[in-house]
Amino acid sequence: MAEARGRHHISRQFDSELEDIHNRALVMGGLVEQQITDALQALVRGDVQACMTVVENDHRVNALEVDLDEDCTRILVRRQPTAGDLRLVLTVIKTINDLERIGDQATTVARRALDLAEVERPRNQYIEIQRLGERVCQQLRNTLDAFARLDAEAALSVTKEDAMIDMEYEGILRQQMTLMMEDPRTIRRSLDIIWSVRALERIGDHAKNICEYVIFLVKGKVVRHTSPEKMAEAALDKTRH
Amino acid sequence: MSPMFGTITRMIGLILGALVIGAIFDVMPWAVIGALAIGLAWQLRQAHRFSKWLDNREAEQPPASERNDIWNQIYRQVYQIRRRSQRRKQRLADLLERYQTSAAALPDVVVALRADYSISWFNRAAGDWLGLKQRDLGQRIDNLVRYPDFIRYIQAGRYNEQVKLIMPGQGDRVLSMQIIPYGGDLYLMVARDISQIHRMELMRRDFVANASHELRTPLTVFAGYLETLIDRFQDHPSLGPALTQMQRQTSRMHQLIQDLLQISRLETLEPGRRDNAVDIPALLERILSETRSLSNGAHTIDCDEIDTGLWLLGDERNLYSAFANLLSNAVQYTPSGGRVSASWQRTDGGCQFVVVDTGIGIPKQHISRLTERFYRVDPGRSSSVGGTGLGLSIVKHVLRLHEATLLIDSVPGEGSRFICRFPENRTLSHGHDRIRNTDTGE
Repeated sequence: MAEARGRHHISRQFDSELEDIHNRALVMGGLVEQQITDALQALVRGDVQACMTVVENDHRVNALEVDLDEDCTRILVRRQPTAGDLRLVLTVIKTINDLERIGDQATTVARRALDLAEVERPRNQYIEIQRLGERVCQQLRNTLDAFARLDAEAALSVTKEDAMIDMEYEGILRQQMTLMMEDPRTIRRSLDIIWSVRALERIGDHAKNICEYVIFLVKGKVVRHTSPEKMAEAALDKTRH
Repeated sequence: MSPMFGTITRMIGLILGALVIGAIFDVMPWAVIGALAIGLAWQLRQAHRFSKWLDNREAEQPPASERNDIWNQIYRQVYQIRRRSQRRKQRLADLLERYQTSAAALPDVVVALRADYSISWFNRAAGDWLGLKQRDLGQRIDNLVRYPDFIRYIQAGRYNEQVKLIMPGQGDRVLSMQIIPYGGDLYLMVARDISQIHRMELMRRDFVANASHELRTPLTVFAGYLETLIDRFQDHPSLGPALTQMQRQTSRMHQLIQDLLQISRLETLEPGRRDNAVDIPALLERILSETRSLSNGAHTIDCDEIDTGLWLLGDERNLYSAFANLLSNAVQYTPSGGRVSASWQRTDGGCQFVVVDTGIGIPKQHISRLTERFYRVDPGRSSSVGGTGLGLSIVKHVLRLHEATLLIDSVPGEGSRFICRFPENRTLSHGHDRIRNTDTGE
């Protein structure tokens, strides 16, 4: 990691501490990825046991977040990092916050899946949720890859993906609204479906946030709440920071 | 003529010439100095030329020279040395390239890792399956392959085992991954695509589960009618025994299906899920009283050394069936009057449950296959003792769920010992390490 940022500190210990929080944020990311994948599988297959497992595993995500947050604070206090190092610590703190929320959304999906497993399955076997979910998983995977590689360009291309997710989300909403109007008996199921796709869509937003932190980390520019053009300009800026 | 001789004759010629010229023109010292200077200058020029020739990276032919002197000799020797080392280097480079192209073309994933798990080389399959890119060289592998199972595998460092990863989004490709340490502190990560095997495994498992489930319903109906029939024809001279026999076989079949269903349920579970602190001493108490009723006074059943303060992190229901299976096996394979004893103790690396019997024992060649489904040491005997042939399979699966190992040692004719070893991280001590030594067997 120190090589990737092209700098070393005189204190090797500091280097390894920074590398450690970066690694552990990614380990947490891996766990969250698994949680979503499992929750999605559980929903599509109607697997009650798998739903329970996802809900039970959420505390592990939370525990990782608490630990890592504490260590980041310790680094801030002890080492008083500046410039790139400070950005790394800040990015990790923000990223794990978003990851923890993604984990919560995964449990939301699992809880909804528990309800959905009890009711009759729709004719299309939740194919649209599966497609949206796979897209979200892919987005999160690309996000974490960009974070691992400290790759601002990749992060930028992930943020563009988010629009696709929003479109699919809207499509499902519209479909469910039509279904509810046609047959009010499906309202309960439709509401559960809406809740879970909403959670998936939120995961996409959190992934987008992480991408913005990555651009901030690599390029030193705050790109939150800016236009896509500004963001692209910042991410593709060739000057070193 | 040796090159040394050539050089010396040339020097002598030069000096003689200088002496002659000095004698004729009467400038002896100057002539000698001049001649030596010319000789020296010539040698320096040769040395300069030699150093320039050495500067060439490629080993060129030495400059052609007819003269037979020490310089030509040096040129020739150095030229040969350089040619030889160049050929060796080329051979090594060829070998390396051949090795790398063949490793790159391997259908399996190969990634070479340094001591800190950073990637130093990977092949094409690794790029395709794990999504590695050329710029990831130097990046830590666990930053990019983030599956929690893989991370746990790396952290545990048990590299003689393999880890199975299901990759989502790639048509559910399943990889079996292993890290192999080599050359001190370097690692080679190898992964094989086992999607096909995995799918077949799933199909087999589903088939067994479904088939057992489907068989259970007709069997229940069957057993119900049998019971009615027995009530009516119990005293019938020929039908009575036949019906009783049928009922016995039906209940055996029922047990068989139960066991099969339990195994398929155990197979789908992953270790570490649904773990609780289990009061093993209390559990053993229950199992032992059940075993005593099974033995019906035919055996001495002790529990020596049950550590009452020793609990275990695990799944109570599964542990119950594993331990009960071991004890009922011991009773079934021990002739009347034999002795069966169980113990539950702390060991160096955790804790262990041991069942010792004085039964018929198991010949050595059968031990390794004993936990296979329906494996029978003596097919004739087993049906007479009852049992489904699935007991030890269940034990094996339960122990797998608890990261424990099963050790079996046995001497035919003298008895057997079954040891379940549980790891330290599942061992829970409840402080009061009273050791109870009761001998309550009949």
